[in-house]
Amino acid sequence: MNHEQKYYLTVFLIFGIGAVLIQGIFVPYLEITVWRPDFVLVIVLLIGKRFGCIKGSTAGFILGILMDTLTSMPIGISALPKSIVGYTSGKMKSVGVSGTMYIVWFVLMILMHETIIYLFLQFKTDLPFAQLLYSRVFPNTIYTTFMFFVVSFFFKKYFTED
Amino acid sequence: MSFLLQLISRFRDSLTLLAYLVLSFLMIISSDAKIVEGLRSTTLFSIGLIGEFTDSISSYFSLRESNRKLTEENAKLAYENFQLQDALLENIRLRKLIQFKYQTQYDLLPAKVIGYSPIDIVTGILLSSEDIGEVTKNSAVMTSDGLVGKIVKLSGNYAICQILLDPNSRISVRVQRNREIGMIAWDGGNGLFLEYIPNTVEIRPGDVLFTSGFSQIYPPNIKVGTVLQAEINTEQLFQTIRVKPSVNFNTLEEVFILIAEQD
Repeated sequence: MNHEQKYYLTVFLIFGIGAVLIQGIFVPYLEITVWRPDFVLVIVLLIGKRFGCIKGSTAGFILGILMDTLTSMPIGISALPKSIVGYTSGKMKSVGVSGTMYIVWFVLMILMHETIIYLFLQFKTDLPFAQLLYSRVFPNTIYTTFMFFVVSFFFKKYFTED
Repeated sequence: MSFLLQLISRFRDSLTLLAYLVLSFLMIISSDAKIVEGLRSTTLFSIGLIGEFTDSISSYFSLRESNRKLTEENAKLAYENFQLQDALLENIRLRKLIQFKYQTQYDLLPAKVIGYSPIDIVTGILLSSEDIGEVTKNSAVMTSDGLVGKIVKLSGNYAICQILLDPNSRISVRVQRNREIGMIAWDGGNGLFLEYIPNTVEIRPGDVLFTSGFSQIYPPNIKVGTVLQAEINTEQLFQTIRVKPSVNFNTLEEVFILIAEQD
């Protein structure tokens, strides 16, 4: 196991598992009306950006599974969009996207993640998807994007290649 | 063979993603499979231990036990009160049945809330109790304010409780004032809908809803919520009725799991 793999595992265990715990224990206290940020998604985005698409999608898949096991929903609902987000985040790095465009892509990926989750959930409810879109998907995207900047600001050095 | 390896090597990234997507789909459609259930049990146990530890830091050790007893007593009294309120109305309406009595009794097992479901919709809470071995899947969960939900998963001293705000949750309820039966479902926010109430039935804001007892899971006469608004839809058969849950799910600290007493 080389240094890069060891570093990946360390980041995954500390930030990834830590984010799942924070999401389950502390995030309910950050709730505004019915909106919540997704710290696990933020960490998957940062891992994908730092380590590339394979490690990004792996982190997304495993952390998504962990999240799903702590709900009464079917396992895989979070893992699927988080794998895609981890992969896309890593892919952006390999095609040379940087700066503001990277941020735009991040916002789009968060939006896509939320959309996929609520597409699954709408099958379990009698609610129209449009209602979930404006009452949940868009506000959650904004909140998670805000938290993405906060987390990036404080932990930037752990997710940059120096 | 080498061509295949070259192909795999070339599309390694995409194939990895594809594998994860297929695995996710397989797990979604086989959520009751033993391996998936085992995974859920293991994670619940591990996260439950950590959640319990973090929770214990903020607890006041000397007050916890007495507070628990008082809360349990309060919940029992509230439950009795629910039954008495309902019994009073029944007695007025059905005077001939004055010897009516409830045949099933329940023990209340206190359990501590140690965490919430980590996805952005609150669908469940993580519970911890030393006596959770007595609990079975689908046991009802309540507080002194009313119904919280039901147990959907047990592992060690920990359990996942599916709350009323879960998209899967459907509960048969009765309107206390006019005895109408309806179905409670999540409204997409922090509230509930009362469904399947025909336009011809009068529902007023403030009407109180209780579990109907038409269920193997929820005993009758547990308060579920209060009607906030009722709107008649002329183009549909049923009204749109908004309900405020009787329990504030964001402030739950301790709940009670109902265990049917053995004869």
